[in-house]
Amino acid sequence: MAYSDKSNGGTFFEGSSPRQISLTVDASLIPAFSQLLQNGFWIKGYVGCSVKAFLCEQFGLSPEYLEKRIQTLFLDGDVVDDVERATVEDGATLSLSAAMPGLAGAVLRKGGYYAAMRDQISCREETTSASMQSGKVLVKLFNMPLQELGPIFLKHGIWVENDKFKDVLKARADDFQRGCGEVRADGRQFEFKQFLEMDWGRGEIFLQVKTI
Amino acid sequence: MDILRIDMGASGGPKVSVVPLGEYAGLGGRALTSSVISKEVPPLCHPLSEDNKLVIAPGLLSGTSAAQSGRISVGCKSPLTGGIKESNSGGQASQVLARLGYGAIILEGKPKEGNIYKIFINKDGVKITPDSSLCMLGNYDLVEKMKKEYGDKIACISIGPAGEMKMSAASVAFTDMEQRPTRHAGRGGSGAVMGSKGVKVIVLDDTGLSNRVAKDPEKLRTANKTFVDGLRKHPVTGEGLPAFGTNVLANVINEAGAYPTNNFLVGRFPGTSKISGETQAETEKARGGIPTHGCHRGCVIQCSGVYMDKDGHYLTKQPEYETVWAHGANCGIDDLDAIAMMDRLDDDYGIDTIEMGATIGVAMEAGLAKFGDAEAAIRLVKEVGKGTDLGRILGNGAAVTGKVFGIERVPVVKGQAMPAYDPRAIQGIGVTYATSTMGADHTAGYAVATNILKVGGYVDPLKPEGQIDLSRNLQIATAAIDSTGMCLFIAFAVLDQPDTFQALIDMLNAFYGLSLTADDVVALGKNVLKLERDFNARAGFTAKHDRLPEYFKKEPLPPHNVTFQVTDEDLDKVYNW
Repeated sequence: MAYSDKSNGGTFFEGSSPRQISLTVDASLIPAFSQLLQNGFWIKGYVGCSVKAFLCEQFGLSPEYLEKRIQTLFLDGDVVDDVERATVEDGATLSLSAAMPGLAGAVLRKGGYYAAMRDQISCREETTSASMQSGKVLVKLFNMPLQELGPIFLKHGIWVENDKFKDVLKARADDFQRGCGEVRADGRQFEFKQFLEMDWGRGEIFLQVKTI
Repeated sequence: MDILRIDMGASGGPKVSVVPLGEYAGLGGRALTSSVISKEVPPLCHPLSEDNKLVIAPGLLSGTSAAQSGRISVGCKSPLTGGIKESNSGGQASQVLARLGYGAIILEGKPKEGNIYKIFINKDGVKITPDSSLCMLGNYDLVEKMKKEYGDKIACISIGPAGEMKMSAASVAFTDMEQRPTRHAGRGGSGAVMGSKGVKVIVLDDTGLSNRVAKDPEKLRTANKTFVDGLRKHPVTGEGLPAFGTNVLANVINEAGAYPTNNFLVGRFPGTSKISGETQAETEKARGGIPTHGCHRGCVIQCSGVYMDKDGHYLTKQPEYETVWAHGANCGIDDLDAIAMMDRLDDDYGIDTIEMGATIGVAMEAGLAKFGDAEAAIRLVKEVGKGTDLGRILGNGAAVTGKVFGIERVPVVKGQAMPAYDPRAIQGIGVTYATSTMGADHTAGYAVATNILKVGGYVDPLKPEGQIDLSRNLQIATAAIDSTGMCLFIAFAVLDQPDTFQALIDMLNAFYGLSLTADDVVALGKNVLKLERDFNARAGFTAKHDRLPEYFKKEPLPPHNVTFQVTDEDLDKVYNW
């Protein structure tokens, strides 16, 4: 999957809090980021376009993957049936899931036969807005997309609150101590223990996680 | 196949009769249990009286080499709803009972002397023995005792203390492949009926017996292969469910704003990612548990699992979506270990986890504990197991608890607590909750390929009023599936892949030498629903019972701020065929 440069960084802030962090970790530590990815992370791009254009044209998701694999999709909590008509605006939340079991799963399915059973929470699709602009979108990954897209998003970089990221490291500090190859913050390399003890303040960081 | 009738109230002690299926020939699972209850149980009888019956029936394909065929149905007049009840379970008992040659066990009558009995069934016959040493044992200790007595090849059907105390939320427990009492026919209080019959445990041993033989074994083999291939290649049955279990639904239902939180107050729970199927699977793996595991032999979906505690010791089976929701979001609790502990206690005491969780939610609203207080919730479950005065109230379900403590917001239909989908966000599920013969039930409306084959007529899915027709068709299809003994989770693969649905019908035809069509399957489902509706009508149910509690129409549910909008007139159309 190709990853667009449009979604990288912004200008670095002055001050003590790092803005860009990159980790290289053992592959076994990728699941440690699972709750972070489920709760949502920001990606930056051009909004005012369709869900399909946003994910496929800007972030390189294959249209086939979007059609066949992401069978349940929410935009701001509403169920999306047509990814070419649902429009992503600045600050939107996009939640991606595979097909779900049971009656509820069938009802929530993208373009599903039982859509009438959840009409009140269906996305009211509209024609795509003509003007696109820079913006950010909160992406939540669940089940199969979490396993399949999670590592890819982490590798290319996501925006998260630094205290939530720190919680991930603290929850498995010993495992990260053992399995972390390289830690860089704003281009400078750190020992993991030293990095963990730093006072970061609050704010948003651009996080990249690669595997050894 | 025969029916094993046991009259627990016969003079001189329990009396066994083995009789042919007779008028019940060709029926299995829910079709059989509902036929017996509808025909033989006076609808106005007291559910704990000698006139009620407990019917335990494997499905039409149980005990064969067909995959997914290990479900068992338990039928009675429900102490919880007062209507007809079929509750369904996995575990080993279905296949063992079918291999023993029984299409059903029917417990009748009521012992006069207050003894509790164990029943042992093997190829040599049936032995019924009073055993007071089993009194008030939890299901786990009970099964260990039975293993010491009868060996480690047995399957057990049992009740815990809740069933002995005849609580309306009491379940019937079934042992899994590891002989743990982790699978339950939970809903509707069938455990109380078993307790009223004085039966603590039924031990099944099929040593020396083989799978049932099909009329056309080669055709069964071929159809089974197609069926299994279909299940394995489908992303739900072949990937999502094995990887994450049923709790894979948590994040998605939460995102839909349909995840009932704090006693159905809002539709989204902030702590969902901490208790999701994804997090649960990771936790299990990290602790040496198993996130991919079948509840019965022959299951290829493997949606169950094994949950270990922090020290890596077995605690409970992987809690299901409904259990995690009921003891989690519905009570404001985001602690997986606390939820797992409550699941263990529910299994041990023999309580329906959905009813228990909904009841705790009502109890929290009543001020007995704070939402989010996991330790307090565990204490409330323990009250039930101990049979304290408070425990006896809670163990009789959400409706009783709400009445005792003066709570209006009690999420029940026909006295049975709603499961883990708020009907205001997913209105079609609300139609099923309201109109199902079982009370608020999430499994009543699963999908079979009615839409693919346009069986039962074509429904325009875009029209809101289409929800009525969809719910009807789904209830029909579910009743049919429940009669085969098949696990309902085949539904999604069957919905998407016409050849997988056809393979299911081919398996039935191969085994019994029939020529069933999809229309016949639908007719079976319709007939089952008709019997159930008829029983409920004779038991005093009217259209006014096919309704959600009023507050669902008035109280908007955040985040979508929707109310239940399906009209009473439309609800009354569900069964007009």
